[in-house]
Amino acid sequence: MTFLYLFTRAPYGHSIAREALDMALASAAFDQHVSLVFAQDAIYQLLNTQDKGNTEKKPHIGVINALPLYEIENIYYLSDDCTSRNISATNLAPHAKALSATELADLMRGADRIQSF
Amino acid sequence: MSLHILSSPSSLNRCRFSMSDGDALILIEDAVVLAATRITLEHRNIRISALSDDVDRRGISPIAAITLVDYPGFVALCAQHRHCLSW
Amino acid sequence: MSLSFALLVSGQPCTDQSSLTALRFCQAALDSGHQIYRVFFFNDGVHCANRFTTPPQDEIAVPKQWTNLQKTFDLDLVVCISSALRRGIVDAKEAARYELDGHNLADGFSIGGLGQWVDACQNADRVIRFGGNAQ
Repeated sequence: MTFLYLFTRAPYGHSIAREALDMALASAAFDQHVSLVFAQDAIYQLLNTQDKGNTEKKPHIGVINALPLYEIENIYYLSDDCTSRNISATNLAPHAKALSATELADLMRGADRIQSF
Repeated sequence: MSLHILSSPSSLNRCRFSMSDGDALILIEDAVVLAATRITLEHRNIRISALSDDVDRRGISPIAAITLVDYPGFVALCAQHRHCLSW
Repeated sequence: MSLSFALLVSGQPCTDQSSLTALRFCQAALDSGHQIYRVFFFNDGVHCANRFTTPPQDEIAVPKQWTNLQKTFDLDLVVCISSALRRGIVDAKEAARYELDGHNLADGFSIGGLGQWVDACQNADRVIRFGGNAQ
């Protein structure tokens, strides 16, 4: 089945950002075809410029960079969110791809399961 | 076609990016305060409902464009839509 | 048409309304002739399974309400193990494994992995999340 996850939260503030990502990893581990969209403030989860030296919490970007190891290769952000948040795409995880609003609608149409967090 | 389940007033702006023409929207919990306001959406043909239990509990007077549904109505809306997205 | 529902409960029962919404939804779905494939308690939703929850006398504890609903309809209530351990929700087996001095999983709940939620997503007709939208 095709599982699509729509994330909208910045990392660190609420544990649901990290635990929902764990759920996506579990879906891939159980052989589902998984796509992730980091929309709105969730785009900050993809930022390579996060302070990795802060040891209070495991760096979020660590699990983002490990996604391809779990065979999750469809990792997206929305071009509009980049613009509205003054984020340069060069600072995002290299395996994340830009998606237009139309492409997102197509992705949603093709998904068997969509979960938003 | 998706049903967007909004549970707080800020959920509305959070779900906009994922909406399509013909989707439906239900206001529950604290999002029912939106039922008293005119909701402007970029998409067409969006039916907006509000959970009557939560509306009544808070003493809110919904505007005419909002359809009030009870719990069985909420379940029926979920049954009618392939995807139910909570925001 | 009768459908099967998979419900994800991810809100803290004392903090937000979502676990009560989920309870009412569950009851209404069953009354409407639908099935509940599984209820999966995730993130702060695992607190719904804490049998030590002790509200004032005129309120019914959320865990008790789930236990009652489970008994009536033989529901499959599964608590996510990784969410639960982080938040101190354990059954006797986990308490022994981690050498804890007590266990608090309410009757009618079982502890399981995320695989059980993935299974529910695959097999149910509808997947609906309650809670976890706190700002």
